[in-house]
Amino acid sequence: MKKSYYILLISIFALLAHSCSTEKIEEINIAYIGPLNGTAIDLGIPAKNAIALSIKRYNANRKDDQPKITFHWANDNWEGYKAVNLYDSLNALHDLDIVFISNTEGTIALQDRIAQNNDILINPLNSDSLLSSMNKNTFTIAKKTEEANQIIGFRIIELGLKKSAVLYYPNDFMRRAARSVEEVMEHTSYSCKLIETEKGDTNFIELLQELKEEEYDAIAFFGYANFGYAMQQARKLGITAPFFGSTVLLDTNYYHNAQESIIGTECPYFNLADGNFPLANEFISNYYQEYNRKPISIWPALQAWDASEIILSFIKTANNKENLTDLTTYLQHSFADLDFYQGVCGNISMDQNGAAKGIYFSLYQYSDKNTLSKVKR
Amino acid sequence: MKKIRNILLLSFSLFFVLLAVVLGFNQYLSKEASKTNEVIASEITPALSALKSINALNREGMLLLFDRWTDKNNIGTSNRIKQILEVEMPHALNELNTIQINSPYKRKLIDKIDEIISKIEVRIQRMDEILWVTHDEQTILNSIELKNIVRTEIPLLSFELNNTTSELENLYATNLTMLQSRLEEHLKNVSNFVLIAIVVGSILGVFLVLLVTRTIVSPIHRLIEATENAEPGKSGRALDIQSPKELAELSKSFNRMSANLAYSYNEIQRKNEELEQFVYITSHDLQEPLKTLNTLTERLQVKAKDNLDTTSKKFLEYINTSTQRMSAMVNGLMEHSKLGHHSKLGEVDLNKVVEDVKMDLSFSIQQTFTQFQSEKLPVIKGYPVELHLLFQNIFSNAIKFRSKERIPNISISYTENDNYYIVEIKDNGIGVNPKYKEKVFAMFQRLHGQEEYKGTGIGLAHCKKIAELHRGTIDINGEVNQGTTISFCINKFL
Repeated sequence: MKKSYYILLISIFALLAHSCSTEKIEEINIAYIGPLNGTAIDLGIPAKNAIALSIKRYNANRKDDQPKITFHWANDNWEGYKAVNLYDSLNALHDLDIVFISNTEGTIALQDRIAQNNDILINPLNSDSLLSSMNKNTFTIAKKTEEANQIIGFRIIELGLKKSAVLYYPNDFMRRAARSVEEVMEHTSYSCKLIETEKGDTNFIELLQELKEEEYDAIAFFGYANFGYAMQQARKLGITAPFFGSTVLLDTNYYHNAQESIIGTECPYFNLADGNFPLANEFISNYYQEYNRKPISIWPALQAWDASEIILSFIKTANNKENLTDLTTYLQHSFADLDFYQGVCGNISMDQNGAAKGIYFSLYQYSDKNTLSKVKR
Repeated sequence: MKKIRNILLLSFSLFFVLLAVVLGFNQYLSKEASKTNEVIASEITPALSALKSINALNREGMLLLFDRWTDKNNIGTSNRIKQILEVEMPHALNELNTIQINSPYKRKLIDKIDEIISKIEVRIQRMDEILWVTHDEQTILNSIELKNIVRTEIPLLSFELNNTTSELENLYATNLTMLQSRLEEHLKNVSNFVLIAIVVGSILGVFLVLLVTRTIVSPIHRLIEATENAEPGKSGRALDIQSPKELAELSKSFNRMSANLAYSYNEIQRKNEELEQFVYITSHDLQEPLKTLNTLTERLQVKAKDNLDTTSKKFLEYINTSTQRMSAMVNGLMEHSKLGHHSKLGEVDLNKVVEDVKMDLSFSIQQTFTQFQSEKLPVIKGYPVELHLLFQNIFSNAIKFRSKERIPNISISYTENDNYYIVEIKDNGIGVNPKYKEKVFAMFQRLHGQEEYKGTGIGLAHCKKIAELHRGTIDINGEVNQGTTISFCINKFL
């Protein structure tokens, strides 16, 4: 009787000791899903490279008690519907813990999977009112889509271009961007017509002819490289109205399709000087050293770098935390507590919805082949 | 009665008590200093830093506000205001709010700062709303509401924010000054205390050293002095040490031992004298019958020369030789017993002794062509006659036991240490087998037959006794046919 009592007591202590000891995280699998060829390559490759560089440096300098990180990636061809399949296959192979995804529709599509598997999802390109309302496992460390594109609306008003048209690519991001321009003009005497185009369209002559006939003062092209054809076609039709674009004009195919007609187009953009210049400049030097070329577009690389560095700063101290239950909960709390982070994009904080604050785009003009210059007013 | 153990225990206890007091007080002062430092590091410094940030952002915000109003399309200004309001000001405010503050008044001021910033945010949001829908520059500049916000409301709030942060900053600055001076005072106290502890410790240390010296070292010195002054056969003046207890007991033991030693020494001396007297008398008395025997055998040889056959003559010759040898041995024994008697200590120049001995042995030296090399020897305190005999025996032996293959050579060298003069006499004679090293100094011990080398075998026994008479020792070294080295030492303090 006495013996069994002691055994019971020892077992309880052992159980308590076991439950009190926290398990250390040995390895973490991080994946990136984004456009690595074709459409929006300027968004995908720089972001993926920046995250890969960040993880490489982390692994090279990590201490023994810090988890090792393995990085995986998959190409979604900028199609949101592909995100689920890509995530499932990567997850089956590598048991993912954290996923970076660029595509807004893809972000929305992965919500259930992420919640179900208790993984962390980060969008390092875009943040908007919809993305901010995603589940508690989703975070956006990026510019606000609406805020960035409203710049175009204000610019059109500033230039006194009373009648404008916004041609947009049929996805959530571009629709939202076009809508934000329209919103700016809602309470003014300025008119803004939103025109949704078809995926894969390359011939816009008919549509542009209409705009010419209706004497539009400004045309905004919120879409990808195929709108380069539209720009060229517009100029050939004799349309002299100023052009405006979105954040993706530096896709090299844009110039290829538009040629000289793209020159002068104004767009929202984020360059080194818009963030923390010394840090951003250092990052670009490191990027160049690693990949032997600069990013096609700067801002996706800068945002992805900050997003990756923020999460790696949490991971670094994960095993030092007492009562670490699971990585996802720990990362959720870390994001909630982040009220100041000095990154390459500037000083960043996270709001209650898991969206970053502090990344603000400026107005740029396509001044030369694959070159944007800040608009001086 | 004092005990060494008690004295040492008392000394160590005092030392440890002092050490404990010093450490305890030092710990207390350090803890106080650490507490003060903690308040500075965890509350005042972060608060001052956050307030400085809020003030700087407030000033920057005011400058940007007019730009925003007059140039609403300036994206740089707009972005910077957003950065301040969305990230930097909330961060500074958060820093301030997370500091643990015990003063209700300070907490009230922080709440007020929070409230003012919220009011500013509301005004700026309203300004943004107006600018959102108003695009005409003139209309913006003429807008009464905007004018009111930009020229009156926000500046007033900014002014109030500035005053409140300044007030809080002053409070913290005063606290900082006060705590810094307290910290300084603590450090000064620690420093003074350490200084006092060093002085008190030093005084106590000197006192303890004196105490220990007086109670322990002084009796030990008396004991050493008594030991050094002890004379053979005399028990000396009895030591009277009362404390500490252990040394008092030691002194009693010393007194007992000293008396016992004196008694034993005197007893041995007496026995030695008796023995020597016995040897002397015996050898002296033996001389007479030996002389008679010798005379009678000689006369018998002469008178019965023609009546004796050859064998009887041979026997008589043996008797005569043995008698002569026995006489020589008895003489030697007598001389041995006389060594040191009736001799007086005096200054002896060993160089002169060597020369005198060489003079005495000049015949055999010349005969054998013996050569001498001698270092300059010291003038010592000793027995002149015995030292003469010592050198004579050694030189005689060196000549007697010379090698037939070499011209005899004797070299004399000398060294000294704190207590002894050490003389070394080396020859190139027939040498000595090391296994007989001890035997050669025994009385009548001979390594060679009479036919080979004449002698009684008492010479080196004399030498040993003479060395011991000078409270020294003698030693012999060498190898067969490789010469012999005899070294002896003589005590400096006879």
